[in-house]
Amino acid sequence: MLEKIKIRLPKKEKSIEKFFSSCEKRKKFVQDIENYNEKRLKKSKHDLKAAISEFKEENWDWTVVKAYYAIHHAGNALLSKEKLLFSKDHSCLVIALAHYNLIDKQLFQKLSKIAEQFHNTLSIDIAFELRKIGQYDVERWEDITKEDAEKVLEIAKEFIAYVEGRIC
Amino acid sequence: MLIDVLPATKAKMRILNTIYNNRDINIRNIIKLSKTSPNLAVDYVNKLEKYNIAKIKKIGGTKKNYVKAVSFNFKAPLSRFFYAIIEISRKEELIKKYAILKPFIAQIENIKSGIIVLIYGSYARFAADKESDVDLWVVGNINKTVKRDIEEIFVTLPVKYSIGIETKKEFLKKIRDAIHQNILRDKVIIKNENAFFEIPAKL
Repeated sequence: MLEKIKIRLPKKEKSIEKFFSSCEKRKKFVQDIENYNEKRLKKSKHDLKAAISEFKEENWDWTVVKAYYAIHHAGNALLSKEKLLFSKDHSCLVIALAHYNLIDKQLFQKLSKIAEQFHNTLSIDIAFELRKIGQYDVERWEDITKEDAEKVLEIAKEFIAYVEGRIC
Repeated sequence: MLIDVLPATKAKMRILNTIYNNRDINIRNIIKLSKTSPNLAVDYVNKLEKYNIAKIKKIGGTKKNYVKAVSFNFKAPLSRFFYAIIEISRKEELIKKYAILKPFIAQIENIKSGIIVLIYGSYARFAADKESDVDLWVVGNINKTVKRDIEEIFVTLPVKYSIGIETKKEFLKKIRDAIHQNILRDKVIIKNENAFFEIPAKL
């Protein structure tokens, strides 16, 4: 499933800047509390451990949900440490990490892919996009395969290890 | 002067470490293991003795000719300070040699609890390779939350790890067995050096 996804988040520098400006205009970045990055990293690892447990239980959809959250909190830990900002919007967060050169192109591509895919499939940003519930999640969650879960988990581990290497 | 006894050079630090790690060690072995000159070793040992940081037993021989057996004195007023220098330096060395441990040690230090966390085994002996496990020992009253926090910290560690958990009372009770003697000999304290000081001091 993950292999078939076309990345809709911008790739080119100009488009990234445009997307970033749009996030700024929509006030998607919020000032964080100093040293809060430690708490965000802790939450990220808590979610990652939970994702690993779900994987062992063969719950592929929940593995992806929890790994996705782990990535989101790790991304915010990095953004908070470096720029004292955080974002609840996953796409804006990934774009901000690219805009501030906090991640390389390869990692940006991997995170974009996950953001594109599972944002819709699992209605992860439930609180913000209630309209998506029912439209996608009750139909498509069974399409998530073991391979999808494995890949997202792998990316989550890689990204969190990268973040903790940078901020600790 | 007190300043003369501070381990402010690498050679002095090596001498101090050698005494700390080897109970009742003679001068010849201090020179050999610390790879320092005889003059420096003798002079520094005398200074450590003057400030009670090293205690010296006279073994065998005559009144004029005897062997000096040197040990670290945990009971002197300045011992805690020197002990902290030694243990913090070991932790720094560990992080320098095994960079993968750095973020994990930083996160362990951040846990809000009075627990002591040690690394023992091949990493503490500075002999670990890619296949080596990280062996951890936690000493203290540990609750479910702290246990969970520790396990979550190591979730991204790229090598295998093991965690042993004991209260301080249990640790002291078993201190003479082989595992605990190994831990005492080859360990790096990664959290709460101050609290661990009481353990060797009690022996």
